[in-house]
Formats: sequence, structure tokens, C-alpha cells
Amino acid sequence: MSDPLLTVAGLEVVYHTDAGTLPALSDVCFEVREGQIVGVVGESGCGKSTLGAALLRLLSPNGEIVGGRVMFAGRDLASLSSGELRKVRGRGIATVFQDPLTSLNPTFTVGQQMIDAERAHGQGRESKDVLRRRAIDALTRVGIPDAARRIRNHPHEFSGGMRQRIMIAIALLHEPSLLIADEATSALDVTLEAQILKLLKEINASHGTAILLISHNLGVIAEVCERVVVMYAGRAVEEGDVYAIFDRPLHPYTRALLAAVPSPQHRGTTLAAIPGRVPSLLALPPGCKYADRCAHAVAVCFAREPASLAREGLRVRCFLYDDSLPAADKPRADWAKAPGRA
Amino acid sequence: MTADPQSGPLLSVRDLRTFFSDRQGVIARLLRRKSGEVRAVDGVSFDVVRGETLGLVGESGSGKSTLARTVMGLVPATGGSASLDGRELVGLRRREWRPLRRRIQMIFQDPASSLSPRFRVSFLLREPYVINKVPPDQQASVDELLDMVGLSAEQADKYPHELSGGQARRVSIARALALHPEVLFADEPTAGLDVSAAASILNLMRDLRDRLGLTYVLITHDLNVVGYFADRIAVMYVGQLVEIGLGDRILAHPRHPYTQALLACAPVPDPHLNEGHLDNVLGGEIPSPHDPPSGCRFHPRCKYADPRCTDEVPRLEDLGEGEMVACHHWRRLDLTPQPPVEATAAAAAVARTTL
Repeated sequence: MSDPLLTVAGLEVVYHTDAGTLPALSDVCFEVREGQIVGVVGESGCGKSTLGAALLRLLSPNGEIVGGRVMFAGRDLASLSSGELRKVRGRGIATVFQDPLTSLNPTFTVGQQMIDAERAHGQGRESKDVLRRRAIDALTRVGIPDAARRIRNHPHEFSGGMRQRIMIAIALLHEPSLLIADEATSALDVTLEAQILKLLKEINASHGTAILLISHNLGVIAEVCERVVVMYAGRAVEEGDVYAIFDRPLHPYTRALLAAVPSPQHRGTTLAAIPGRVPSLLALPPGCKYADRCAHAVAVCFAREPASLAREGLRVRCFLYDDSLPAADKPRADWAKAPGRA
Repeated sequence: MTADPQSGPLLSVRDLRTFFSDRQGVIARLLRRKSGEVRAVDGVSFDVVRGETLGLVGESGSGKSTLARTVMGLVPATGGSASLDGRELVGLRRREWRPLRRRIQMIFQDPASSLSPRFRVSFLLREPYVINKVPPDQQASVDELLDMVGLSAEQADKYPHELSGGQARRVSIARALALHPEVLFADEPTAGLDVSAAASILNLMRDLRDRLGLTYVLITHDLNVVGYFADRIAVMYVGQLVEIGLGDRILAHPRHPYTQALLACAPVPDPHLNEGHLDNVLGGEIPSPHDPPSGCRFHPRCKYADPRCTDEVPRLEDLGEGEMVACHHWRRLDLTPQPPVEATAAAAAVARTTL
């Protein structure tokens, strides 16, 4: 096994708002190894996009990393100066966001923006022709036909799928070792989404680029990821190998989430919707954040937060698996009552 | 399912066409840009029997929302016919629509833009009665409507922005149900919702179907949703139907190459089923309905296309039992043995009333 490329340990992020301080991420720990594709999945408000932004210190101005470490290729990103960080962005870690139209400038040609991106990351001494050549190669690599001509087009002259390919081409210009894809396919149609996922897998296979894929879509995660982090209310509640997570998930939330996805096999049955709602970050309950929606919850779940435990090849935050608790205090697994696969 | 095989189809659409002209402005005309028409819906025919759910699937630009809006009379049809229980809907005047509006309603795609931000939920729920001049004794109370869609009575005083995505969707459904419709068009009812909120909306729709005997036309791009919910599935591609049939049959044995490609690349939340899944990804892009390809509109992306597909428009071939497909080569491509199609009540009814 190779060394971890990215290690996130005990990451804590808050947002300062008029209504108070929102704990967006709390004690998030996971690793991405070289060449690995790791998925981060969760519902809206679980902190998965905050996580992606925090890794590159791209949080909005009211966001702040208040604890934990992000180690990338042996360096602590939190301690880097903005100049050093700039070198990591683009060359070490690159990001692709959901909406290419807000990431691309509508007033410049794609080629100009790509050349700017190349210059911004320290290749300013090369001639414009060299930079242009490299931009055309990058576009060709992501499957833009006739790239030498298309490079003179503006973003609005491309379709949604092509724009996302351009974003990926820009992200790959400096051959980063880690690509963060934040809901990169969510706005695309099914066939275009499949094309982009295929492209990401090909880049991963041919260049060994590790990918952190942030998505709300369990199908997309199952399709391309090797490992999965399941997030809930700013916590990584379960983490592990994709087969383990989908075949025999441990956390009641993961099980409920998987059971709630409609499929032809469920036809004629009532879907196992999760009762209640995600708690507001302004009023998080003191114990396990999932306790009030969980069918197994007992007193201890409402009293204190479960620690992350290694069980059956997974890491899980749930008192069901905490053997240090006296048997009388421990919640009992009663999967018949709870939504989830048997 | 409460399909009633005695009567004809509740909703019948024949060769429906909706073209939008894109007459160009002065500058474009001076520059001699090509002007023309966008054939958003181009010759669509299908039947829906009482009590069944027809799932209408397609990607962006397939015309599925325009089709629904045309049937609802919100967009004028260019040609063809759509009838509800034998009453023609195309070409009706506003006044003539009024008695029919109560029978056919729509859940609009985006509650944020279909619920006015200026009114409280209680007013939004009474609005259909005001607009349709429903006598008070035929009105359901706001509490009843909220209860029907699983919202508590306190929600009545809220404004739309105070609701979660799932709650706003429920208000949209309650508005559509206020007039006791028989047919409900649901345009992407779960789009933009989290997994668990989407599951509870689908549960609600299922429950309402069973309790009120609703007939749904469910418009979605999500094949998991349509596979879970629809009795029959119609697949659209650039304004035309390419295939229609029983849900189980389409999912197990799609006949049209586009349906096959669509099913092949839909992500499934099971890593075991995904091995080699991306090997056969459909290439190319969805063509613009402004300038659709000649012949079969799918031919530029189809791996089975031959010169005939470029030249000749395939007609929607009726295979009986409500099964139709528009492909020159489906018989040749149909390599898998067909299982006997289960003759459910809906299928039998459709068989009798088919084109």
C-alpha cells in the first residue's frame, strides 16, 4: 500500500453568521491514497462541499478552519503561506465544481482562460504558443473535438457537457496528483453524466490522478469510487471500502440512505423514507446527531457523541458497535424496526 | 391499481405537435442568420387508462415538459389532438377549459418558482378555488389539504421561503389536488430533493394514487424513479417517442437502441452491478430540436445506424398490448428472448384501446 496522499485528521470548520457560529465540520478524518478514487456522500447540509472547499482553503470569508490538520504530500496545508498554497492549488490539488458557467468567465475565450490558468501557476516564462499548444492538447485529451478551432470559442458556445469537460481540462493542465470533483456531474443528463464519469475514470487510470468525488448521488458513488465517506451533519459517520459500505453498511444512517433510493425492485412497496429532518447546524443536539431519527437510539445516544470505531473493515461512529459500553446502556440493533437492508 | 378496463383511455394523445417559431430580430435578419422553428414536440401519440401511471422519460430537450404543458393547454399545440375522456383539449378557449381544469392538473417542476413568494400557504391552497370559482360547499379546507399531503396545520401561516424543499413540493401537490383532479401531470416531482425527502414524496404520491384513484403522468429523467413508480414507460428523444411499453418489459428488454443506452448508463447504487458499466457509454450529445438530424433522430449516436436510418424516419410501430417502438432495426437487434408480457389489467385495457 502506498502512503496516503491526503490525510484529513480531526478537521473542524465553522461558519460565522449573524445567527451564531455554525459548526459545519466536526472531527472529520479520512485518507486518500495515490491514485485512489474516494467518494464523499451525504444529503444537503451535511458538509460535503465545505469539506472540499476547506481542503484547499477556499472557504467563503465567514468560514474558518478551527481545528485539525490537512496533510497533503507530507505538508500541512493549514500552515502554508498563501504563496505556497498557490503552488499546491492547480499543481498539487485541482478542483472541478458543479456549475462550469459560474467558474468560466463568459467574456473571454476558453483558450485565453486556459492560458491565464497556466500562467497563474508559474509557467509565465513560456511563450504563448507553447501555452496554447498545451491548452489544445488538454482539451483534446478530455474529448473536445476540433480543439484547435474550438479554443477560440467563448464558454456559451459550448454545451453543458462540453463545458464540464473544459473545466476538467483546466484542472488537469498542471497534472495535479489530486482532483476534487464537487458534484461535477450533477447538472448533466444521464448519458452526459456517464461520459464525464468515464472520463474521470480514464484520467485516474492513465495518469494515476487521485480523485475525491463529492456527490449526493449514491449511484454515481457506487459507479466510480473505491472508498466512500458517508457524512451526516458535519460528521463522517461511516467510512470504508465501497463494497463494504454498499453490501453491509454498519451505521443506521447509511443503511437508511441506501434503503430510501427508489428502484424497480421496490415497485409496489412503500419506500423506507427516513423520519424527521436533518438537524439545523444552529441547534445541533448534544449526542449523536442522527439519534432523533434513529430507530435504535437509547439514552446514551442522546447524551454524548459516539467516537469513530474500527469495525469489520469500516470506520463507524455509532454506539451500536461500542463494546466499551456496559451491555445495559448499549443500543440494541433491531433492524426489523429500522429502515435498511436486512 | 384501479384500472377500469371497461372504459376507453382516460387521456388520449394523437400526433401531438408543438413548434415554437424563433423569428429573429432585426440584427440577426440583417446578418442572414437561419431562422426556423423548434420542433419541441413532434408527432407524439399515447394513451393513458384510468388508474395507471405512465412514466415519461427523456433527457433535456426531449420535449417531455413541453408535451405536458401542451396537453394542459398552457402552450398552444401546433397540431394533433389530446383528449380527456373523449373531450378534445387542443384548441379550446379559456372559458371552455374551465370545467376541464378541475379534472386535469399539474404539479410543476420547481416549487420555488411556481409558488408565489408573496402569499402564505393558506392562500396558495385556496387560490385554485378562487380561480376556478368553486362553490364553497365543494371546497376542501386548508387543514384537510395540508393533512392530505402530510403537513401539519401550522404550515398554513408560512411563506414559501420558510418551507424546506420537500415541504414546498407537498404544497404544490396539495394545490394540484384541491380541485379533485382525475389526471395529474407530475413534472420532475423529486428533482433537487435529497434521497430521503424524495422517498417520502414518492410514498405520498403512491398513497394518493391508491386512496384517490389518481391517474399520473410522471415526467422524470430519473430511471430509478420511473422504474419504481410507473406501470408503463414512454421514452422520448428530441421531441419524439421512441418506445413505449410496460415498465417491467422496458427495463428488462428495451427494444430501442436509445432506451438500451439510457438504461445502460444509469448509475445504480450497487458497486457489483457497475463493473464494466461505463464501457458502453453512449457517445455524442443530444441534438438541438432546432435542427434535428434527418431520418431517425438518434442515428448520429446509434451504433447500429445504417444509411436507411439517415434517410428514412422510422414510424412508431404498434406491436399490440400498448407496446410501440420507432426503430428500423429493432427486430434485428432484439437478441434477447422476450418473456411473456404479463397481462395486467392495465395492459389488457390498453390492448383494447390502442391505436
